[in-house]
Amino acid sequence: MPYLSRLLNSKVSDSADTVIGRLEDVLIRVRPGEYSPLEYVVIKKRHQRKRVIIPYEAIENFSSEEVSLRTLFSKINFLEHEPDGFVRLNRDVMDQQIVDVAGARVVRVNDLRIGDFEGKMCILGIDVSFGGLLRRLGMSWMDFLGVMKVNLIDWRKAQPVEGVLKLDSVSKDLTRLHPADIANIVEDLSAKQGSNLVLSLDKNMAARVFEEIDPEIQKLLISQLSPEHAARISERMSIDELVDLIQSLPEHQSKQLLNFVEQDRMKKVKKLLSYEDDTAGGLMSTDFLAGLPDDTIAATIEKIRKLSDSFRSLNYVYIIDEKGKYKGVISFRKLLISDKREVLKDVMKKNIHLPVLYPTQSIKSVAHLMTKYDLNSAAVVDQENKFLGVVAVDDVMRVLVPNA
Amino acid sequence: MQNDVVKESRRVKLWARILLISSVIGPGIIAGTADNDAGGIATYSVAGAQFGYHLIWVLFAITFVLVITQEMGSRLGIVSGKGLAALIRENFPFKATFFIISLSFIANWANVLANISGISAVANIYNIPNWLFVLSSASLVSWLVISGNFKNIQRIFLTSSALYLAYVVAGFMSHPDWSAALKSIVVPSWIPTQDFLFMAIALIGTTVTIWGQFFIQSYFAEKGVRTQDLGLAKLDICLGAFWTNFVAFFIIIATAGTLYANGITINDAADAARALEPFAGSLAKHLFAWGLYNASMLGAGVVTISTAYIITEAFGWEGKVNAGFKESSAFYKIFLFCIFSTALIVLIPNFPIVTVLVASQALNTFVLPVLFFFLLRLLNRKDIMGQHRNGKIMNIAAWVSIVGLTVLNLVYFVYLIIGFFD
Repeated sequence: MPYLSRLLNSKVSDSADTVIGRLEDVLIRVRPGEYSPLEYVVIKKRHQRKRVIIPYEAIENFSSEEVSLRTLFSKINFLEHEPDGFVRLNRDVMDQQIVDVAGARVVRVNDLRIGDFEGKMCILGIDVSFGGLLRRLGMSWMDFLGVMKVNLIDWRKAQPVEGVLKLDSVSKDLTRLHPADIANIVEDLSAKQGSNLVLSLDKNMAARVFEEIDPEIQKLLISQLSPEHAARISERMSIDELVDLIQSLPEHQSKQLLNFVEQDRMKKVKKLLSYEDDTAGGLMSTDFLAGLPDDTIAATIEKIRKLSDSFRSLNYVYIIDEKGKYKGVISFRKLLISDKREVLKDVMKKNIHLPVLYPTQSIKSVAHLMTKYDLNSAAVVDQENKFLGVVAVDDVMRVLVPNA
Repeated sequence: MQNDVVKESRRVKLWARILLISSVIGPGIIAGTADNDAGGIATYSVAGAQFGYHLIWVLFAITFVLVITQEMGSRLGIVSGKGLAALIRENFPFKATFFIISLSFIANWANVLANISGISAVANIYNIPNWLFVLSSASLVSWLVISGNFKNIQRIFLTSSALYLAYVVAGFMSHPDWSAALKSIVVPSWIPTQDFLFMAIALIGTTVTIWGQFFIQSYFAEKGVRTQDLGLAKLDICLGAFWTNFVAFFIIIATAGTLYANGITINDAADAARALEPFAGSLAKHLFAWGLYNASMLGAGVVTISTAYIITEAFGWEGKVNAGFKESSAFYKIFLFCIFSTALIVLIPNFPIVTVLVASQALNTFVLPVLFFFLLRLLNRKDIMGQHRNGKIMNIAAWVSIVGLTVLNLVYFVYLIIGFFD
C-alpha cells in the first residue's frame, strides 16, 4: 500500500504508454467517520501549464511504480472546472495541522497512507512520524536499521484544523471528548484557531472547555473573541470560574465582560469579586443545591432531578433556613437510603458537628481543614453563620497544582 | 500519564506567559531588547571605538529596514494567526521548508554560541573560572525556562530590559560631543576603506536577524492580536526598532567618546569594558560588563526559545500533549541541546570561536534574503492575506531593502572569502 508522497509527481501515462503529465493532486470529500475514497486526480500536463482533472475510475494502476489510465487519454471525459465541496490532498491536507481526536492532540500531516477499503482506493491513515518526514525528503535510506516506528493515525479519527475554521462544525468524536481534553487541544492551537474551535462547540460545552483552559491562555483567547462571543461563553460558565477570569483580565476587558453578565448573576459575581483570590471566599463556588429544613426527602430528590442539568457537579444538598443560616448538609447516599417521607432536618448532618470555613481563611488552612476531616467539600459561612458558598476539593487542587 | 500532561502543557503555557509579560512592556520592546544581544553589543562597541561617530547614520537607516521587515512579519502573523515556520511548511514544498529551516537552525545556533561566549567574556573580565561561570549561567537560563517559574522570569525580563539603560548611563559618562553625535545621525559619512564597509554591514547583520524575523511573527500570531489592531502593532514595531537603535547609539557614543578619541582599538565587548576604565571610571567598566552579561543571558534565552519553536513548529512536534515526556519533549531537547552544546564549545581551550562566529554571520547574510523571499511570497498571497496583502509601495520598499541587503551581503561575503585566504 502506497503513501501519497511517493505518488505525487509521478508520471501518468495512458493505455498506449504515452506520458500525459505528472500527478499533482488528488481530490476527495471528507465525511465524518468514513475513509474517504479517492475521487478525482489532478494531472499537470506535459510541457503545458494546463491541469486536467479526471475521475479516479479512469485510472487502472495507482502505485509508486506507475500511474496509468485504463484507456487512451483522448477518450477520457475530464472536468473543465474543479468540482465544489472537494478537498485537495496535497494542497489542503499534507503538511497541515490536524486534530488527532483519539490522542486529544494537534499534529502535522507528514504523509498520507492510501489503500484498498471495501473495494475502493481510500485514505486510510495519517503518518505523523519522523520516518514520514524522511520519506518526503527522499531519505528513507537513512533508517536502514528500521528503528523508526511508523505512527499512523486512523483517518476517521482526525479532524482537520482548517476545517474547523471553514465548516464551523466539528466532528462528533471531538465533542465527545472530555472538556479537559478539548481544552488541551485548544491550548495546542494558535489563539485564532483555538478561539474558533471553542466557538464551534455548543454553548454549554464551550463554557466547560473554557473553564478547563489555562488562565493565561484564557486571557489570550478572550482578547481574540468579540465581546458578544466572550459573553456567550461566560454566560454558561460557573460563577466562581467567571469571577476568576474577570479578575485576571485587564480593566477595560473585564468591564466589557461584566456588561454582559445577567442581572441575577451580577449580584453573586460582585460579591465574589470582593474576596481575595487565595482565600476560602475567593475559592468558593456559589453553584450549590439548597433545601429548607422542612423539605421532605421526596421533594428534594425531585428537585435534584429537575435542576441537575444546571450544575457542574452535585454531591450534597445544603440545608439553609429562611434567614439564610446554615443548618446542615446531607449527602446523596443518605438521601437515597432515607425514608422518603422524612424531612431534611431530621436526617441531615447538623451544622454544629461540622467544620466550616470563613471567607477570609487562607488556602493553606482550607486545605489543612479539608484534609484533616476528609472533606470533599466544605461550606463557607460568615460570622453570623449565614451560608455564602461551597469550596470543593477540586477548587483547592487547582490552585495547589496549577499546571494540570 | 497525568504527570506527562503537566510537563508538556507547560511548553504551551511558557509561550503564552512570555507573550503576556510582553503585553505589559510592549512586544516591540521585547524583540528590540533581545535584538541587542551579545553579538550586537560587541559590534556596536567596536564600531564606536574604531570609527567614532562615523557609523551612527547607518543606525538611522537600519531603523527603517527593521521597521519594514518586522512590520511585514507582524502583519503576516496577525492576519494568518500562524508563525512563519508553520506558514512556510504549509505553503512551500517540504524540501524547501527543510532547507530554509535547517539553515536557520544553524545560523541561530551560532547566534546562541555568540551569546554564550559573551558570558565567557564577562568571566574573563572579572577573572572568574570560565567553566564555573559559563556552566552555571547556562544552567540558570535552562532552569528558568524549564522550571517555569514565570513570576521570576517576568521579574528578570523587566529588570533585564531596564538594565540596558546602563549603556545610556555609560554613554553620558563618556562626556560625548553632543552636537557632533546628533549631527552624525542624519549626515552620512563614508570612509572608503574595507574595514568601514565591513563594520557597516556587521551593524546591519546584527540588527536584522533570522531569528528576529521568526520571533516577531510568532509573537504577534500567538498573542492573538486582532486584525483591527494592526495599527497598534505598527506602533509597537516602530517603538521597538527605535529602542534597539537608541541603545546602540549610546553604546557607540560611549566607546567613540573614549576609545576612539584616544586611538585605542578593541576586538570585542569585553575589551571595551576593560578599556573604558581609565577614561570613564571603574563604574563605566562595570556597567559595560554587566550590560554584556545581561544581554548575553537574555539573548541566549530568547534566541534559544525562538529556535526551539521554529523547529517544533515546522516539523509538527508542537502539540504532543499525551505522549510521554521522553517522546514529546522535542522542545526541551532542542533548547537544552542549543544551550549546552554551545557552552561546551566555548569551554574548549583555543577553539577558534571567532572563525565560527564570522562564518555564522556569513551564513546569516546568505539565508536572510532567502527568508525574505519566502516572506514576500506569502505576503502577496490573496488567500492568506486578503485585503491586508502587501501594497505596491510596501512591495517596492521591501524589495529595495532585500536587494540592498543582498548586495551589501554579497560584498561582505566576498571580503570574507578574500580575508579568509589572506
